[in-house]
Amino acid sequence: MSAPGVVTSTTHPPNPQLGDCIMETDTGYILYWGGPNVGWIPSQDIGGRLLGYAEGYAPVSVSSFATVTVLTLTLAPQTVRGRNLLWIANYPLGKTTGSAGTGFLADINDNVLSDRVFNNGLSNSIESAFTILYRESISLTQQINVGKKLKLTGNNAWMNQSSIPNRKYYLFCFDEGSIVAPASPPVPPVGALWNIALWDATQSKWG
Amino acid sequence: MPTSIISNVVKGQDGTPLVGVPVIIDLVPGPAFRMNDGSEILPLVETETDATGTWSVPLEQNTNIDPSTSYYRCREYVPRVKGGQRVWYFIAPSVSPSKLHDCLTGASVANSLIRPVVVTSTTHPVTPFVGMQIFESDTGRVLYYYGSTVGWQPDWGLAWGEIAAVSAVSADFTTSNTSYTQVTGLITPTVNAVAGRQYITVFSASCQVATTAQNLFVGIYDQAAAQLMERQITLGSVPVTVPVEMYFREGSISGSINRGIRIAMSSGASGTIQMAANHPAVLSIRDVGPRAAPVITP
Repeated sequence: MSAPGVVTSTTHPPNPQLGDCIMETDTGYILYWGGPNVGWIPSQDIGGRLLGYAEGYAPVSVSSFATVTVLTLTLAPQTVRGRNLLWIANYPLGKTTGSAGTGFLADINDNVLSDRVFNNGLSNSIESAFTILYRESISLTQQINVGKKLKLTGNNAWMNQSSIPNRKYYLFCFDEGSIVAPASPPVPPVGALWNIALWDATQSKWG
Repeated sequence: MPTSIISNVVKGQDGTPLVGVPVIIDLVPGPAFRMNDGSEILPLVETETDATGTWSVPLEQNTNIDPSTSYYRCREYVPRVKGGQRVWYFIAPSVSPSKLHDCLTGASVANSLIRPVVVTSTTHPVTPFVGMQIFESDTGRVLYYYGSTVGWQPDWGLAWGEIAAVSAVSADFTTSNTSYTQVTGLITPTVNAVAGRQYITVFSASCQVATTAQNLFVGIYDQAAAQLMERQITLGSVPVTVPVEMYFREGSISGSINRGIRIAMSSGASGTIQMAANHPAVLSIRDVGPRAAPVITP
């Protein structure tokens, strides 16, 4: 056969076998049957897909070492379960003279995961472009949402102070592939299948 | 027509060859056709074992059978007292003659086999159908037919990766122009963006500003010279080299596109995008997966 089963996301085949392949015409997805514990899944080890993103360009500023949340991105557990994730934050950051402005990634409970400190010990305001990459693996039993925040802290620090629409800041989450092979039922043995006798050659008749 | 001789020796439980055992071979799920001429394959072949217990039949090779997940089922009607009926599932290989033993496959495995039509990137099927799968032997790509609008594409649900990029190492680009100026070498080839996909343009380079407290502006531009994204670099002392990395996401583009990097300076200053072998400037357009369902037009 030169085609997967052509179905929709609501008309999956009722009795699939391990490895069966379908195309959902309403989503375009190519999915494989991974067994009853796994269900219909995409090819496992191919990553790079954007699972979600948050963006903005409204000016954000902090003073007196306050902390603000710039962006929040949350994904449902079934979206990320058993996957490696790559979070990427890309943002502009400006800072007046003295001390530091810090952009950082935090988890949904505001625990700091990764930061980038922008120190300014000079005599004028400075500005630059920043990227933070953060990688994590989500367990196969993940039951709650997975999320991250892009946050800003410091004294007189800002993102897009002039509110220019093209100076966006982003928080991306990419799927980087499966953490393990999915659990599957055993594959039936290759070879003969035995059945009852239907032809009795000794008596030259069907038995 | 490409056939292979398949044979087997049928023996009883005591190892004695069984003579005159009826053997029926059919295609599962059937019916099926020959790919080379479109003719229908006989749905059933009957034979029996000879004096040595051997049966032998010519069968159409599976590579010439449509649907290509078809497989053969062989039923050897061995008398009950000699062990009972035997059922084998097998595929007729391109090697002839072949022993049945060397061709066996499991029924469930055979059922789930999907064999793409093997083509090249210049010999796609002329009458494809939605869901058809091909393997391009000259590129290694596995593609699916999504209808006449979207055409042949990889699995829609996956990220298709980089679609265009440049890595510039030739020479630094310096300007003091206060209007945005295209950076030499930092413009991608023109490629086709597919509606319903989402793309991220990534830029990474080192830059330098020659005047304290003056601004270097870096922009990602489209093929119509419209700015898509901007970053400002302002440094407190010079010359200082700093990295600039930009990610720009798009989800509503289609047709011919390219992306380029332009820079501008505040008045009286000059700035540089560095491009050399030990610090190339990279501009990449990446397909990062679906934004919406494909428009499937049969």
